[in-house]
Amino acid sequence: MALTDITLGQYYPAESPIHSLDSRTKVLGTFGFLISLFIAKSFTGLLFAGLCLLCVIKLSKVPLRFVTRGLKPVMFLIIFTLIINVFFSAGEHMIWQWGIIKMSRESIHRGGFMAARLVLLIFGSSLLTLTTKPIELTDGLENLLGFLKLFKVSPHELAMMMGIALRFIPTLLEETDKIMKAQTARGANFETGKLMDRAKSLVPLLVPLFVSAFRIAADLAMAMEARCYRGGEGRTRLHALKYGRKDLTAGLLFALYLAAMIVMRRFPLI
Amino acid sequence: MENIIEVKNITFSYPESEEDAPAEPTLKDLSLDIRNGEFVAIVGPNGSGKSTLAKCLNALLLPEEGKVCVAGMDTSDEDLIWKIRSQVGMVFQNPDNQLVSSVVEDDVAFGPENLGVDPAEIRRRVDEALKAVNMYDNRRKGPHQLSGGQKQRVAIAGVLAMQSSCMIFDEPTAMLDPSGRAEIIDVICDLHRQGKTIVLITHFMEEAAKADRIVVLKDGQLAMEGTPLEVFAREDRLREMKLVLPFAIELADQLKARGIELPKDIVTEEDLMAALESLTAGRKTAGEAVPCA
Amino acid sequence: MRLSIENLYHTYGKGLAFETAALKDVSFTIEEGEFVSFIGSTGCGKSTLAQHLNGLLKPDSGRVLVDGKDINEKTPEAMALRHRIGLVFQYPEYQLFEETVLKDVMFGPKNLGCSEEDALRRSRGALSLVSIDPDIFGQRSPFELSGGQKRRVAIAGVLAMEPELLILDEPTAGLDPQGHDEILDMVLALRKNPKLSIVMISHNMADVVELSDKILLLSHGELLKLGTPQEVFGDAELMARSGILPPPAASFVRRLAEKNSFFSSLSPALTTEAAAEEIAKALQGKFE
Repeated sequence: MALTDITLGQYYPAESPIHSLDSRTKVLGTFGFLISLFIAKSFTGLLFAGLCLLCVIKLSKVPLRFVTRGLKPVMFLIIFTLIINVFFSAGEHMIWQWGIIKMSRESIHRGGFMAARLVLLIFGSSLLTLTTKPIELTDGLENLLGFLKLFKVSPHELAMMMGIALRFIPTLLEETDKIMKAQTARGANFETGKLMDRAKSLVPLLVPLFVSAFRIAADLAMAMEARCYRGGEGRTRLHALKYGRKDLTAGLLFALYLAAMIVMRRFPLI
Repeated sequence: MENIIEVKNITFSYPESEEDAPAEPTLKDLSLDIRNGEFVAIVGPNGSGKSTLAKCLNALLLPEEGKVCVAGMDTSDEDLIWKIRSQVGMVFQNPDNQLVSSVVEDDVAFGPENLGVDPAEIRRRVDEALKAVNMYDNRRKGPHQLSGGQKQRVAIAGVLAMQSSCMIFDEPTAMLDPSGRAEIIDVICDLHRQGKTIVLITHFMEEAAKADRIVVLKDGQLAMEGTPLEVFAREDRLREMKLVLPFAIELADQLKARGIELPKDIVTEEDLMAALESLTAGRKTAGEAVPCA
Repeated sequence: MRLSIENLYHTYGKGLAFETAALKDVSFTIEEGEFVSFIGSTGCGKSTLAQHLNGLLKPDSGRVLVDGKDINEKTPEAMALRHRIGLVFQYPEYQLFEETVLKDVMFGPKNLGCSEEDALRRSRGALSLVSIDPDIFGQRSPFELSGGQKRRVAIAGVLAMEPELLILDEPTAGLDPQGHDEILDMVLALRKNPKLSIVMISHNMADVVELSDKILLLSHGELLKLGTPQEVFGDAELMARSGILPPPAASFVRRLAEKNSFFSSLSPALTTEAAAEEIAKALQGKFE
């Protein structure tokens, strides 16, 4: 089922040093990693970043194919980036040219670089969601986004909404699949036809889906109320956020990594 | 025994949304007491007000007239609402739409977290609750990896972790297959044995037969009330309301119609089995009977 | 219409870690006008099998034949064959989407290419079949109806396509006793049509006994048995192996025969009436 292939937001349960880090450490680490990818100016930097990421993946005990599965939905974007950069950007050492389509050593280098950066970007962020329970992730974000209170936005509510969205992604995907099948059985056609017809053919899918989503929302709100939910005030947590020695170690290692990335920006080897 | 829940002359109607909606109230001048540690089954046709009544018992809905008291607390008192809801937990019909978290143990923790319980204590309660419903080994799984019966058990654990003394089940088995249904009924009976007060709303008379007392609702009013034996004895009324009798009672009736004399107190299959045993005590196998002259 | 399944295999999540064989070498035939129930515990492959019968799922190998022709070929003829098979999903009321009941029921026939008048005629007919009066309910919104009514409208949506084989996936799931009886009456009425074959997936063994000509018992994706209710539920060893509970009357009679030596030669019974008849006969044979 294509609809359930999406890894984003799918937690991979395991006991590993990465899993046991505080979620805030992981969020900040991921954020830092993404920035470091933009610090890198050469393949040396990306290669080093990739190797470090591979070590972290190994450490996290998440099978590599779960991480690579995150690529599937954005494959198109990566290929698009590759093509645009390789065939449509300028360069000195021309290899081949046909009208506006041209290819040069520089453009190949640039295209490969951009694509590699995108891939690492996806791997890095997938690893965050694979090793962090959604609820911890939202707790961490809630804590990190605490400054939003200054702008009259409740970080708790934001985090709660995100947590619930993550929880119901599989449910809604299943629901979509079911409704699509049911309407197909009634002769509906979602795959072929002109653009207008295809847009129209979505009505029998979207209306029931919205009705379902509203029903789920109403049920859930009732269930949450019955379990004494009344917003963030006075709530405690099963997994109270606490920085530990592990987080300190991780922070130091990350600082070393970042320093190495900056050095490599100055002295590219490849 | 003390009453944990007292319902006094309540009336409730939903706000009219459509012009042809029934103007009649959903609950009409209804009174009901539930004793501490009792197992009460509430049955009745669709639209008889069962679910509405259940939601009035823990202040999810407030009656227009009359009042509901939980352990002496009036549900209309806003300051007591959270105390009442932690006392009277609720498990709903749809197993999917009542789990909040993507991880089983975090979901069970949701109630105590809302009550501001200390993290170490939450951990203890969550583990205990999950063990009580036999879901401890699945504590790290996501709801989408569980069967319907397992999801309902997680929902039950979520209420247990709030340490509610009374649990309301609103058609908890309606969407389950036979094995899931049996799982949940076993858990409910277990909880009752451990001293919890149980209110079970159901369409299945086999399930209601396990209760201490059955309450039959019709058009928002109390139509009948009594032990399973007393209620099932008034078959005509039940059939009128389109309620299906338990299998053992149906079979006993059909046997009586064929001239077999059976005692009146048959509710379960075991009762019927015992009655047939006493009828045939000391006799040989039916097939080998001596043909009568 | 005669539907044959030949050596059907289906696997979910091919190539992934959670790869599971959903159907293994399933073969059987449903004759015209026959009523066949699919039974088995949750996850045994009943719904997967049902979705193969009208081409919603494609087999990994094996064939689905309607009157000898494969429905999974990529030809317009095969497409037409698939349209002769109607599938009603579990909780079908969740697929309603139109403004009015009639419009919703007309969705299927219109997709088949029926004219407006023809679709209207078929839809009115289908609504009558499920005891929903088109003159009273036709112009109402389907979302205003009761649970049982919604479900019957959804079933009418498939009936209006005038299938020759109707597949009902747990048609009574989640309904109250009254809603259950209404659906059961409807199925009983549909069953009278000698041209219509019906497949019903159900966990309610009393319904299965009441309706079925034949029962198809699945376990872990394998066909354990296709036979009459008596053949399937009468086989104690088979019941134990499949993890299915027979109808209450059958299990009661079996337990009675085991526990009470007086009844040890009691013949099996599937319905409450039959059980009462057997027990009374045994007792009275003795009294006279």
